[in-house]
Amino acid sequence: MTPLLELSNVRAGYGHSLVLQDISMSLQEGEIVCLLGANGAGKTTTTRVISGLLSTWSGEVRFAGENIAAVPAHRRVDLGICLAPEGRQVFPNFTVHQNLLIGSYSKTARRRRAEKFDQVYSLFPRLAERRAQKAGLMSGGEQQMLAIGRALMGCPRLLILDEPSLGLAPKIIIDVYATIAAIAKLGLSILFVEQNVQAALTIAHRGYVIANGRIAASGTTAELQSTPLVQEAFLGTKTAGTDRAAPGSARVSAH
Amino acid sequence: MLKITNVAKSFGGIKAISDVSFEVRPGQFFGIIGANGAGKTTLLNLITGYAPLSSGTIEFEGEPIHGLPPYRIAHRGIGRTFQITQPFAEMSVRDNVVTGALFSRNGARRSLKEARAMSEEPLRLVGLTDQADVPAGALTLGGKKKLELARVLATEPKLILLDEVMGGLTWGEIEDLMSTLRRIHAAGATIVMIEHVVHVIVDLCDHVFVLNFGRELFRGTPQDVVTHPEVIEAYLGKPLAAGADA
Amino acid sequence: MNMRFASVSIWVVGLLFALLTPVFGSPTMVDITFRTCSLVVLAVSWNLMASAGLISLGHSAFFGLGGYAAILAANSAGTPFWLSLLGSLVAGAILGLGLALITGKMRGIYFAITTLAVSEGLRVIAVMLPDLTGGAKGAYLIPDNFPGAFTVNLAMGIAAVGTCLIAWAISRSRYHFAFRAMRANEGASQMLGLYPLKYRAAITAISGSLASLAGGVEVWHGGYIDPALAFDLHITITSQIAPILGGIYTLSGPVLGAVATTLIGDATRIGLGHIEGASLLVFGLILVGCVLYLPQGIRGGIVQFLDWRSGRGGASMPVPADTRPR
Repeated sequence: MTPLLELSNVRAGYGHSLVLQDISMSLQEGEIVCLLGANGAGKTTTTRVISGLLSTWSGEVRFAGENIAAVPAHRRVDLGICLAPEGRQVFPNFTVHQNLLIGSYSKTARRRRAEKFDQVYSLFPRLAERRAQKAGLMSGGEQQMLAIGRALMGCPRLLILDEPSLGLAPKIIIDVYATIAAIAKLGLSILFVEQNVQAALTIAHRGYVIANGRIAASGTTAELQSTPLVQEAFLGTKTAGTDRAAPGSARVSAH
Repeated sequence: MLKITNVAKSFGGIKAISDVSFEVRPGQFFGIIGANGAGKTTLLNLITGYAPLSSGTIEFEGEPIHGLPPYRIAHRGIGRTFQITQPFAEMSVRDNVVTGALFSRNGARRSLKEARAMSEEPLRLVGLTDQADVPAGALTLGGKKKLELARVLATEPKLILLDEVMGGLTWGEIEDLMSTLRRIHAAGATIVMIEHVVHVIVDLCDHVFVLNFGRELFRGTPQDVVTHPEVIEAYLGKPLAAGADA
Repeated sequence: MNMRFASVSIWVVGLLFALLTPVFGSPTMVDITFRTCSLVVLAVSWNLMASAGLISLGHSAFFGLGGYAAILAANSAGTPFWLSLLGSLVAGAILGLGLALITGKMRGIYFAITTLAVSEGLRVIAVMLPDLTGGAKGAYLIPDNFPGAFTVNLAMGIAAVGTCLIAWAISRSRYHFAFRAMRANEGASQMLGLYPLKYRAAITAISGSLASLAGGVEVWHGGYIDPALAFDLHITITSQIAPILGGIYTLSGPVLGAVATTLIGDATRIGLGHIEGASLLVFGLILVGCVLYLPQGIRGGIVQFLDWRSGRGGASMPVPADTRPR
């Protein structure tokens, strides 16, 4: 089966500095995949490449079998790639409803706007209650819900979430993750970046560990959990902890 | 050291903080937790002069500091990091830290060269030495959080207020930063810390204050707090509380 | 080290050129140098404010006030040339301080609009006080104290050199840190103990006095002033075009920009002056082209070119044009 998303040997970066050295990964229709890795490893850069905010230097990005390397970001939304960015980035002076409206700006999404509004408001009853409130006045958890809701309004086939649990209270993290799981049940594919590895591994099917711009390890969540690299660097089961995830240290199912 | 008495703050009729009182003693490692929107950051803004109090008093080392502008509060010896990181994006990481050393209470007497030399230690402590010459705007979120801390350390504060410095860091980095904070604390700084990573609060703090809807919900030792039913209900949530013991 | 030597040499040659042209130059050279030096002072002055996050849309306020201060001092009290320039400096500094106090915490567009209003306000005041300023008819310099064209030309050269030295000294001091921090984030800089108003007042006073000095020398050069000339919007615009064209927030950028703006302006006027409006149109197109293709200004372009020639900075890697975050 053709994967929904496939990156092969992608290299990308900013200005003169190369961030992604060599990224190859794939995601099947209906899968939930998480990207793990230290700060600066290239997780957010990977999401920027997939959503088209950053162009690749070389390598291929294929979506539903089609090479989309040359497709600009706003057209990728039409194809069904929607991103909820790191740090939420809701429009603070827009109301909740207006933020969601902006999310359905693309041509495909505009036709299904009413249906999407129902879906988002039923997934997030809290947003329905607060639809007339300015987004900037909402709490962090509510803004995260709104950022995800806004991405959903774009009728994604692939939903990309960058650090959905960032800065949220433990109880809210549980809510957000429960919602992500509920979204996945709708048949969407989800790719998400997460520092909170424990939370991430509870809902993902598979994961990739990025280190220094390369895939250092990959596998099902169970496989990853038993990888020494993941245990030491992200789960804290060993106390050492300080060892940065180096590509060479990956033994289990490394590429 | 820091004494907050009956502090309240409302924004256009909405009460963000109501009747909060607590005292931080010298040498304490004091944690503040609470749900998003509970008023934690507002409380820090009140202490550091970024927002005026509606009522109540705030004293530092026996003298009232409410009503003072932020730079004068900084000169008294209070340093703070920002939850939403505020790096000077076009300046190098090192120059960000040098700025802290130049304008702090002892900074006026310091030459540029001395300030540069002083920036080495904070950069090393937070682990940013390798990136010292990168523009601060190019750091990852975790890097910017570390920079916030390094910049504050360069001002040589007596009291450090940390607003979610662990956000966006991986486990390994959190461990590193925790040992850094332990060292800073051991060197004599008093620390007040807002944090959502609960195990950090449990490991580091000797006293925890729980805010909920702008009011005190509970206070006590970390162990008391994580096992308190109301705190679990309002903040921790049930499934994770079970996992937190692991 | 070589690069450093080269850039210091270019600076020294350029500044010597500004000082020596009045002595040895042909009349045309002297004229071009005078206008370039005047623009250097204004551009560096504007850039100083901008580097602290204060975008001035009213630099003509300082320029015009300096002009009036000099002419009033000379005409009413017979103040000699050099002393009248001191008057311009002081007047500009006072206006700068006042601006800092009025604007307080205002930033960005609010500060910019205030400076625009101040400039326009001063122009109206100059028109409304004919007894003092000569009103809309303007005022002529009484030629008794005129020190000679050579001295005036030299004074502008000295002003340009002095302005550059002040900017250089600032760039090597704690002020450089304060200004960049304020530009990036005035709120956060306070938590490091920085008192923004103090540094804001310092920079507006320094920048204001320099721009006023240019106005003071200009009035001795032209011998005439009127409100429309003194508070001309054109002055405000060229004093920001030059640093933007040359490289904003840098030391050499405003100077390079001032030289380029003067030369491009002269070249288009001489080459196309006979066709109505064509010289301005071409001048404008050249500026737009520069902004499009040299986003970091002329200075940035030179740095990039040198990087590319010396093969540093990962030049072996083909870098697509649009890798910058959008």
